Amino acid sequence: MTNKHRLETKPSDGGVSFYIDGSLQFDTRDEFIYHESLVIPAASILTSRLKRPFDVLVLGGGDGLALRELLKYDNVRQVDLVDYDQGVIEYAKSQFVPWNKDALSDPRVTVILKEAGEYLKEIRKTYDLIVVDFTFPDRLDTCRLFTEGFYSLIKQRLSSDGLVTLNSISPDLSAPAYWSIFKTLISLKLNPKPLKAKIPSFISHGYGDWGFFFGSQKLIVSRELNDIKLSVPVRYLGKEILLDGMKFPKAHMAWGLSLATVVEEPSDLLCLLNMRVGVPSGDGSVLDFSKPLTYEDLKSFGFSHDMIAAHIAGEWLDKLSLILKSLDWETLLCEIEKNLSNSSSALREEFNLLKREIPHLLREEVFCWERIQKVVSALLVLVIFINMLYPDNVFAKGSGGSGSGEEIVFFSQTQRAAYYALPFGLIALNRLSNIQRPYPTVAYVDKDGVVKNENFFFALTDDLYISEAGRVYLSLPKLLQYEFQVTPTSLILFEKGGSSPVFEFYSDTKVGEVLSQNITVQRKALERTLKDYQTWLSWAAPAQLVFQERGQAEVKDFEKLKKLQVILSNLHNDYSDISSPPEEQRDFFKLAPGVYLSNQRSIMLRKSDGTWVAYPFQGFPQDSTVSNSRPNDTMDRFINALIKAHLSRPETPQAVKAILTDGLAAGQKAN
Amino acid sequence: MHLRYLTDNDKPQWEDLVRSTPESGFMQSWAWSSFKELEGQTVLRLGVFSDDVLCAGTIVYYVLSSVGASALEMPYGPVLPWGKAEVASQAMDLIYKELEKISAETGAPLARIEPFIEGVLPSFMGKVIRAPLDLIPTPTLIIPIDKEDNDILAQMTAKGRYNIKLAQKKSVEVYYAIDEDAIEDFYYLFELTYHRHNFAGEPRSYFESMLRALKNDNMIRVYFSRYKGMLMGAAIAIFYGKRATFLYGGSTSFFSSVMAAYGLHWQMMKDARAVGCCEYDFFGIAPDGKPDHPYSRFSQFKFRFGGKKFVASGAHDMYFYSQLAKMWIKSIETAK
Repeated sequence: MTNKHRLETKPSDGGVSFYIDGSLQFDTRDEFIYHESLVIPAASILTSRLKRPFDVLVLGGGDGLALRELLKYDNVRQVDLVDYDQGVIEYAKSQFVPWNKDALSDPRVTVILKEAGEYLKEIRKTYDLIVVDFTFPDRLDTCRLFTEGFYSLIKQRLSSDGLVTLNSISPDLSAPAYWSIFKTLISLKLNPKPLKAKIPSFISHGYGDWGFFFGSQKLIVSRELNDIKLSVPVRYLGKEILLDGMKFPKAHMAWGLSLATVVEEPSDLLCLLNMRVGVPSGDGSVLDFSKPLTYEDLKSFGFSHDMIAAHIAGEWLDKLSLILKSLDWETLLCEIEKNLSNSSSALREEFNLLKREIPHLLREEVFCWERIQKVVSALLVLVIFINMLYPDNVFAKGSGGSGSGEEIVFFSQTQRAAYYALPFGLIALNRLSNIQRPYPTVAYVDKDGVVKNENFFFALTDDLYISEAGRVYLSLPKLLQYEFQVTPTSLILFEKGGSSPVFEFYSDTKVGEVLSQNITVQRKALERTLKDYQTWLSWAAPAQLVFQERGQAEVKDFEKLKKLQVILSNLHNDYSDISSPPEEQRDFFKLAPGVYLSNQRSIMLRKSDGTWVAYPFQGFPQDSTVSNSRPNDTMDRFINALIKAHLSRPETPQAVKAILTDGLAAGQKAN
Repeated sequence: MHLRYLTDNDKPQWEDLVRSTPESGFMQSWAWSSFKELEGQTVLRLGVFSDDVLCAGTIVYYVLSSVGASALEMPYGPVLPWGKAEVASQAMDLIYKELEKISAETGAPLARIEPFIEGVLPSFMGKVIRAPLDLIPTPTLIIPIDKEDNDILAQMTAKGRYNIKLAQKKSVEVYYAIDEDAIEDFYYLFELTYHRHNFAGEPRSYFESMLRALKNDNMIRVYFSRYKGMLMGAAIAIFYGKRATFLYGGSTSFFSSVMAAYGLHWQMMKDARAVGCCEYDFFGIAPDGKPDHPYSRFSQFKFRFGGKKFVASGAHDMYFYSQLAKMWIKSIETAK
């Protein structure tokens, strides 16, 4: 059998990182977090549950690292490892041996080169533990391994007391898709328990926190978790870490489950993964899956069109309104009526409501929005899903109505949407010097606390810049008169021409992630570029090709590259830990890093020490639960500019725009 | 006139038809549809015959989901004899009837057409609604390349010509490859670029499948620019029929002063002409009056190559109300 994927290993500080088709599978520095999370909870529960030797099936996981964890258990009698990629197995038997402890050579292990689904259909035996360790599902064929159909094959091969444990996807970056897998496992009565872990190498690659599930046909009760005995040596997973990893913010649940669906077809999952809508921050309340939970507890997080529709980005709401107005309603209503014969009275009531109100809606007359909201919301959400179901639309090159190439942001969250720009036409125009910006210099605070100015040196991204002294700056779209100096612990806001900082904010997760990713890729690019140049020199010099005199500009460019290499190396050291500051659980809308709109409609600032203050601004109400920041003119100007920028951004939700407009209007009235 | 599903035997006639229809493009090619099949999509190839001669048709792409099929997508389709309204209208009627059948079988609530046509779609297309998403960007910039070098250069801006000459003077090397290792180098630059612009790029396997599917039909080339051994930029070009398309690109931020990007596009244009293409499509520019548009910064660069803005009518949807009704009912029933 030939190798199916492109496999790569890269050295990483004394170890290796392993990539399949460019996607990080593990980094030996922290892979134990992943593999212990995947194996130890299920294997430990099973050990207590069965009190006898047990047989294990590993699907995927050809690298042997999950196997290493399993083989720590003396009562593991036999393990069948099924992986269809011979290349991975070969790595496991050679380069990965120092890390997987040569697990594939253990006499208890049988390696079977086969597709997992094919194997499950062929066999008749059952296993006590099934470990599922597949690559990230970024295509229809890989999503197939996360469907109801595939999981039902697993269920058929699982003993009645047995456990299944599976690697999933990020619960924070792909909440709807993560909770769809949960729903799918529930639909099969596999009683899943969700678990999450922070894996630094995954986070630095922009993969977010990582999620797992373990489940069983026989309910895993709290006692089994609370009395769990980790009788094997571990490097990461203690009982407390396990129980903590099973706590999920309610905001994640509410948002994720509101969009989640049972994955019947691969496209159900791919559609949700492609949306990558992020999650709203919450009020800090969590749902603890290590405690007894009834499905009544989860019911409140069910599918709600109203809630989803409330998050539709402003630009999309406009597009959808146009579509609704253009539909042939007479035909649509007629078709719905035809299909209602076997439907519930509640559904007929919804239909009658739609029929009654739609003419008013189309004529833009007064109608009962609160009553019609549910049915119209359902249609709006439906049209979005219809558009997203076709995988290529994720990378659609343009959008109708308002012109081609706008951002594809379906649902607005506090995080910037992943599909911020579009993947073509990208011959870069940013320069090593002479960056075209309205303000050539930026202010910073030196180590003595004095404000000074310096020039930009290199654009790391469209928004993040570095100076020759290695300081990092962030600019925000439409707010070019302001800059943030990004330090490893805070963001310091400056106004152009100002003699002192406006405010020092707490560091921002998203900024940290983007910064960290780009430092990594730019370092890699620089390293490769300089290496290519050295290779070229080694043959060009003897061939006398370098006699062509190098221009001054080129000499300068090389000097800059060398300087940049040093700067990026220092930044890598300084900023490698800033990608994941403590999670912020408040249910606030983020206006800018450190600046939020609270659910009390107040402007809130997060200070560099992590505490919150309310900022009294114009007609925005005060939040009495926290102390007030002292108002000042520069901050007033910034907040005002920020609000105006949001009012002109298509992706800011209409509801937020309405609050911002009201706040400004109330302020003007008071003045 | 009758419609039937095309088989592998029909491929040569289909290719002749699509390649000679300027209102169509590479996403209606047989090879592109094979690429989409590799990606797991369902592909249907409909042909309309008049006196047993293939005169029209469309390749339809969709995926199935638990709520029904996605839209029946026809990027650069349907392929019709647009200049002969009566024939085109008859062919479209047959295609529409078949799409209706497919909709009933799969649950697809709409079909999305996207011919490469400027202005309003002809009335025989029936009641269509402007789609919220386009797979083919509009507007785009088309450079006529069926000319001598000097004539192509003459219609560029002075800055564009200067930068091309500068790249040549700096000995920027441009070459192309079609082996799978080319994707390795391309993706390194693409990844660097998508991180820099903070968007999510397609996975590498997407480009690998694309190359595998298109290279046997000589439709794809992966271009690179190098300066003194250093990889500066890369682009994926599609050469199909009379049109060459710059589909994806990536670059480092280093040594922009040697204008490698200009050298890259100039070579792609000349190579496209050599294989019989008459126009070079930059695949998307910012619409007028939108300075904050994500394409604005790239549009400025592209306009230096001259050319003409082409504002296609964009994607349009034909709804199948019976399926939309069923989807709505299911959606309301599953909500809490």
